[in-house]
Amino acid sequence: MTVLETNALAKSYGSIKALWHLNLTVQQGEVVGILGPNGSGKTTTLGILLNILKQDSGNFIWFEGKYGDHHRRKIGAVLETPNFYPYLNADQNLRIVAKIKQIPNPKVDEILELVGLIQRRKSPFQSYSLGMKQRLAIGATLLGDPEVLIFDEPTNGLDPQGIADVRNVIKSVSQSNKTIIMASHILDEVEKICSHVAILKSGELLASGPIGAILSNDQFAEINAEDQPKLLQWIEDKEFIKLIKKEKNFIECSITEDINAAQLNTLLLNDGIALTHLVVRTRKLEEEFITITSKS
Amino acid sequence: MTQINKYLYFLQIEFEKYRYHNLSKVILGIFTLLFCFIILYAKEVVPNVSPPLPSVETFFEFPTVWDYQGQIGNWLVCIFLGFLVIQQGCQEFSYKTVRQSIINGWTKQDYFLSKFLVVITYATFATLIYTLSTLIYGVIHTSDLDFQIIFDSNYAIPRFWLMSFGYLSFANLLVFLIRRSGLTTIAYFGYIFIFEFLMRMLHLYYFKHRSILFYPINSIEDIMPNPLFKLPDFWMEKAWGFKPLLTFGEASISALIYSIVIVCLTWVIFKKRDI
Repeated sequence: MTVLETNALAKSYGSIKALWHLNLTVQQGEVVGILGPNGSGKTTTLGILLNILKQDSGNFIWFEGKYGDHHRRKIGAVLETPNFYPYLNADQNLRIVAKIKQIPNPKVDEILELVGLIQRRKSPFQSYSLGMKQRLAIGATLLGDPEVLIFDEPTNGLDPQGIADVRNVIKSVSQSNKTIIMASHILDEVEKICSHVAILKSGELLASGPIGAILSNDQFAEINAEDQPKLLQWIEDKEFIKLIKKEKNFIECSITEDINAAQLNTLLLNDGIALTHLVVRTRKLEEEFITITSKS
Repeated sequence: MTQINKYLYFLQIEFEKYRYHNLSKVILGIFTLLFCFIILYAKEVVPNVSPPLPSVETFFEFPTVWDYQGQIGNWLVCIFLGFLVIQQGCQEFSYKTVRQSIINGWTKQDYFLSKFLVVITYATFATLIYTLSTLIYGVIHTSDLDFQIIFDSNYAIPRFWLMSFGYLSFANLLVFLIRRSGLTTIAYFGYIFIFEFLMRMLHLYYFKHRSILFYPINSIEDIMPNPLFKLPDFWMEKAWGFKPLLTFGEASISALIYSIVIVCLTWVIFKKRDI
């Protein structure tokens, strides 16, 4: 089933184009990462999809229109910050969310247990650390077992422990075969969790699809030799290897997929260059992201 | 869900939000205490007055107790409940719980309706206090009680409700328009106590016409006017060429029209703007 389909969504703030003709399709069970630098339109996209911002043009449809106006009850979402009544405790806040979503028997205790807040369930929200607030917000999204989860920069502003806690919760949720849409600029996180990505820049969709299809097949190699000028000359002469940049302790280059580390080492030895450093790895999402966004 | 169940559902959620909200409890407590007992202060202030001012007994007797308690309620609803509606409404924007309610599944219409029902509930609560306190004072202080004298009040109860609804709808409009607590509070009291008064004075200066009485807040205020203002009627009519107060009918109809316009305007503003 198509969970979400957008058609030429556009939104401007005065003269600034926040979103420009966004066409995006999300299928059931996909874990989609929306990537983009700050101001690329990620939050605007999610805001429109959650009906808190009005698009200037275009349209979107959730669940192929199956739930009509009440589709958001089937979605759990945290947008930007955790939003709760500060004077109420976790239990009271979650019960209000459950009532708004019209969930008859909310499993509040189970959810508080899952996000590690059961011990603090009676403490007012305002006494929580940022990490605890974020975990409560993620917990609130899980109320009523929604079909889709939306997270907007879920680890923003958290300390390392908070990031690890939130990431663990999202990871465990992502294994439950739910559709997840997550906006983030922490690419490592997206690469670990998401099956699909959509890359935005200045409101425009630059690329979208399965992570495997977005990442090129090229490999990266970090190499160094005692005779570095000779090594650089060697790289310049070969077709299958390209210099990317020269770091202090190694040279970064891309190599075609048919060459592995052993073959590279052998070729260099045959030409009289002994390597002092060799690491071959596949291209990371971060590198792909930088390539795609810098091209546009 | 039937319409009644839907309204009860919204009110139940609003109750859950504010049952542990200390500011709401303090304001409602002060409002209720003042509304019930402030009239007793009249005994201290005006123990013995000479005509044409009324005797202190008229403050507590039927049917005039309806007017005096109504005037006290006029001030208290405007100040305390108006302030409460502003604080509760603006906090929803500052806590971003408005947007979270929409994200969680409410439509904008649902949220608007829940706040509209809060306004109706507070207006009804104030009217209930007004009715009970007035009946208690009147029954205790009036000799020769009969049904006719008790309810000889020119429809004071529905008038009081309409007045409360008018003030609170205006406060609610400013909440949806401005969204920030401090600015909304300043705009609310500034408009009621300064801006509209100045506009009316300018209006009076250039056009000595009774249309100055038909400004929104003045119309709402004149539904439950200060009974003492009826005394200088004769002299003011001579000076201005018209009476300084609207009739109950005029005040009620214009306040009702203004209230409808205010509610519709609030909805249009909320519907059109991003959250």
